[in-house]
Amino acid sequence: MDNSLTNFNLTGSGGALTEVRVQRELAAVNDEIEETGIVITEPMAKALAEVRAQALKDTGRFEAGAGALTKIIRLFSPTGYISQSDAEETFSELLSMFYYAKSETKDAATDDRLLEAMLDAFENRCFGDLELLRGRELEAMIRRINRGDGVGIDDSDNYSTGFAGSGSDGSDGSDDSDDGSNDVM
Amino acid sequence: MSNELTQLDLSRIKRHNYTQTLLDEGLRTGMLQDSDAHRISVWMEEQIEDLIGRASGGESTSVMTETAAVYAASVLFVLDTQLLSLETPEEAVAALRGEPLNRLYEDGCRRLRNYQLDAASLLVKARRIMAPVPNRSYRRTLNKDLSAAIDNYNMLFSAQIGAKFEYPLALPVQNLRGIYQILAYVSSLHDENLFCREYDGNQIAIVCGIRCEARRVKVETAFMNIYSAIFVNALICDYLRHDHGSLLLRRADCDVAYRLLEPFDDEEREGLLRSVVNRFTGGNPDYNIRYFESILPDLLNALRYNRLHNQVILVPDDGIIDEDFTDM
Repeated sequence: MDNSLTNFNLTGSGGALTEVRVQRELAAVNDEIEETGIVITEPMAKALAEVRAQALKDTGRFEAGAGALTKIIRLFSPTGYISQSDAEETFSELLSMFYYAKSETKDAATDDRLLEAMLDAFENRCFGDLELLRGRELEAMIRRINRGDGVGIDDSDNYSTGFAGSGSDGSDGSDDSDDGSNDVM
Repeated sequence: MSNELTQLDLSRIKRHNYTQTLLDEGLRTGMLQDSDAHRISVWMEEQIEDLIGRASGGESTSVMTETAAVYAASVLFVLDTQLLSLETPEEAVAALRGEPLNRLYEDGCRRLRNYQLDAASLLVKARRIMAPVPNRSYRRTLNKDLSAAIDNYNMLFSAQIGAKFEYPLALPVQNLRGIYQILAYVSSLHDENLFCREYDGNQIAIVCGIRCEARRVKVETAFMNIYSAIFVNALICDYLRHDHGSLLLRRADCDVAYRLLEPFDDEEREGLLRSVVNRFTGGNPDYNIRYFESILPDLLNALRYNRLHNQVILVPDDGIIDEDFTDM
C-alpha cells in the first residue's frame, strides 16, 4: 500500500483502492443503460478503470471516483453508434478526449457542457467516427473555449474572457477552421 | 510486526510534514496498522473530492494534478495543526488511530480560525501605533495588504499558503506557512511599531529622511524598514544617556560613544550594548534582542575600526534639519 498522503493518488488512479471504487461505480451504471443493449461487464469495468487511471496520468489530472466515465457511458450509450463489441474502446477514447480537453482548456468548461458538446459533435457531425471527433471537432472545441467562445453548442455558452459578443452569429459551432477570421482581437 | 519497536523515533517526525511523518513512524513502530493508513488515505481522497466539488460548484469531478496537490496539502496542513496541538507525538499517533478524522479536521479548522482572529486583532493594535513615516509600502501593508491577506486566508482550499508583503521586516518571517506566516508577520510588525512608539515621531521621521536622502531615494517610495533604521541610533542614544525617546545623533556623539567603548574588548562591548538593549522599554524584548544579535557582528566590527558613524544615521553637523522631515 502506498502510504504517501502528500503524493497519494495525485498521479491519477489512486491505486487499487480507487480502482475498486471505479469498478463499483461502473457496475452501477448498467441499470441506467439497460435499454441500449450495452452491458458493462466486470472485465470491461476493470479495463476501463485501468484506462481511466492512465488517461488521468497522461493528462495530468486527478479524479477521486468514476464521475466522468459514468457520465460518458450514460450520455453516449444511447447514440446508436456504440455496440457492445466496441463499447470498451469507444468509452476509453471518449474518456481520454474528455480529460485532454479539460486540461487543454484549463477546466474552463464544466463537465456537462463539454460532454454535451462532444456528444453533439459525435452524433451530428462525426456520425460516430472517433477519429473525426478527436482530430477535428475536439481541437476546434478547445480553441473555441480558449478564445472564450464557449463550447459551441448554443449561443448562451460564452465564457468570461472578454469575448461575449463572439459565437453569437447563429453558427452551430461546427464551422471553426481556426484561420483567425473569427478571432475578435 | 516486531514488538520491540514501540518507541517513536522523534528525529523522523517533522513538524512541517507532521501527519505524514507521524503516519510513517506509527507504521514503522507498529503503533499504527496498514488499516489505519488505508482509512486515512480513503478519508483524504474524500476530502479532495469534496473540495473539487465545492470549487467547481459541483460541475466538475476532476482537476489538474497541481490543483489536487494544493488541496491535499491544505487538508494535511489543517490536520497537522490539530495534531501539533496535542502534547506529544504519541498522543498524536493515538489520535490518528482512534479519533474520527473529520473531528480532527474540524478542530484543526477551528484553531486556524482562532489564529486568523488573533492576526486581525493584532493588526488593529499595530495600526493604532503606526510610526509617523510616510513610506508607502509600510502604510499600504498596514492599512490594506494585511487585512486582505487575513480576510482572504482560505483554510479550506489553501490553508498552507500565506501571503507576501511588500514592506520588509527587520527580521523576516522564515519557515512558516499559512496563517502562521501571516500571524508572525503581523506580530513582528506590531513589535516593531511598539518599539518605534517609544521614540519621538518627528525624530523617527528625520532619521528615516536622512537615511533615504543618503541613498538618494524618497521616503515615500523607499524599500526600507523603519525599526532597523532607528534601532542603532536608539541604542547609542540610550548608551550615551540621551533623553528618553531621542534618536538624533551627530558625529561628535558617535566619537564619544567610540571613545567610551574603545577600552573594552569585543565581549565586553557586546555585554555593555546588550545591557542597553535589555533596558529598552519599547517593543518586545525578545524581538529587540534577536535583532540586536543579527546586527551585532557589524556593530562590533564598526567599533573595532572606529566606523560607528557608518552604523548610525547622523544628523548634519551644521544642525540644519530639512523641514520636510519634521513635517509629517
